[in-house]
Amino acid sequence: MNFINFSSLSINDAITLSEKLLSIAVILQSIELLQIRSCWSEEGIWRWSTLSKELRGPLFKIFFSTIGFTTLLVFRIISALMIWNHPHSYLNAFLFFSTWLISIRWRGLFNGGSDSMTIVVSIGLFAARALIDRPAIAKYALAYIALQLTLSYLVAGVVKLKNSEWRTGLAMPIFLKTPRYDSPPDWVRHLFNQPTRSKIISCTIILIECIFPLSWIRPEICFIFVAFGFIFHLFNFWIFGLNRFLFAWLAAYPALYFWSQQP
Amino acid sequence: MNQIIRVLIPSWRFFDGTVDAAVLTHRISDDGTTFGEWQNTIPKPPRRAWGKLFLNSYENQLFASHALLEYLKNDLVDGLNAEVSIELVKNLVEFEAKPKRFFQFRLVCQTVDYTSEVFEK
Repeated sequence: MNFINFSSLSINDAITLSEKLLSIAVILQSIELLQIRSCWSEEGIWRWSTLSKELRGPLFKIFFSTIGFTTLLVFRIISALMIWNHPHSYLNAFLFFSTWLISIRWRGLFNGGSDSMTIVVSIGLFAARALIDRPAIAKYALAYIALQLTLSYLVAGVVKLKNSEWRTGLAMPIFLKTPRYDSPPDWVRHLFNQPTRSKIISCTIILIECIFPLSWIRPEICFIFVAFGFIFHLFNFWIFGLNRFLFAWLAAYPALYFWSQQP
Repeated sequence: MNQIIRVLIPSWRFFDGTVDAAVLTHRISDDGTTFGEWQNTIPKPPRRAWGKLFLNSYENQLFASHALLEYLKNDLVDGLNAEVSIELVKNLVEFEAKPKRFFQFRLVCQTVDYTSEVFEK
């Protein structure tokens, strides 16, 4: 694998690359929310008049009305675009703050783990960008992102390992029969329709998730795990429709890769 | 306050258990006495395509709708005040079914048969 220079990602490069990938994730997330504006307007599902019964306070009143929330999303897109030419810690802080507000408006998380990862990366990048003149400290902000990224695979792998349905290959076909995920393409259903094949795929996922911490050892190993992660999230889109996870996780990979280079 | 803090603490326990799925059904009436058949409220998403890798807003909206059912189920199971959760689910029925006057809705917990039904013959 000599054709790839595995040791060239400086802390500045890692922060900048991560910011740009986060920017793409945030822009796509914000456009998606604007596209379903009818759902959170006063004729929709997540009406402010309903949510205001439990979310009290001037901050929520400003940002969670239909107009306020639209404005928040537009400013979120503008901030994400500004990161490309004028990176600054206050932009990362706003991305964190807006993601946090969006999650609260959906009473927890709009899209589960992808919101969590967006929050993790934006917090870490806020600290890293603010401390960029002190790289010896800033690298620990990237370590926070890399650690959470590693935990996201490790914890998911361990909980699956403890679950007999996952170990036997039953879990995936069960999930594909639940109303939430009951619409995969035919080839996905076919893939998990055969018990032995389903078991092999499930066990492979568990194994790779559980050994993900090995990615910290060397950049070459990290590259292999990142490639696995990319393909894994592409499959998750086709199997479950979870498109946001790919972009949120991509934004976290540079931090892990940076740390895999550390002696 | 709970949900304000909760979003800051990531949980990476993805697909950790095949729990019973909550299904929302509704039925509509014109006069308030005679109701039609129970129907699934949340529609199935359309077919996936590469373009939806970037913008998959409708399917993500449906995910969030399913999450509402889980919140309501958890509120009821935990004995919490479910007023807002019930109203949000009512909003969901109104949004999806667009009933003219009278409607009823119910939440059903669906269990997938773990042994014989999972793998299709």
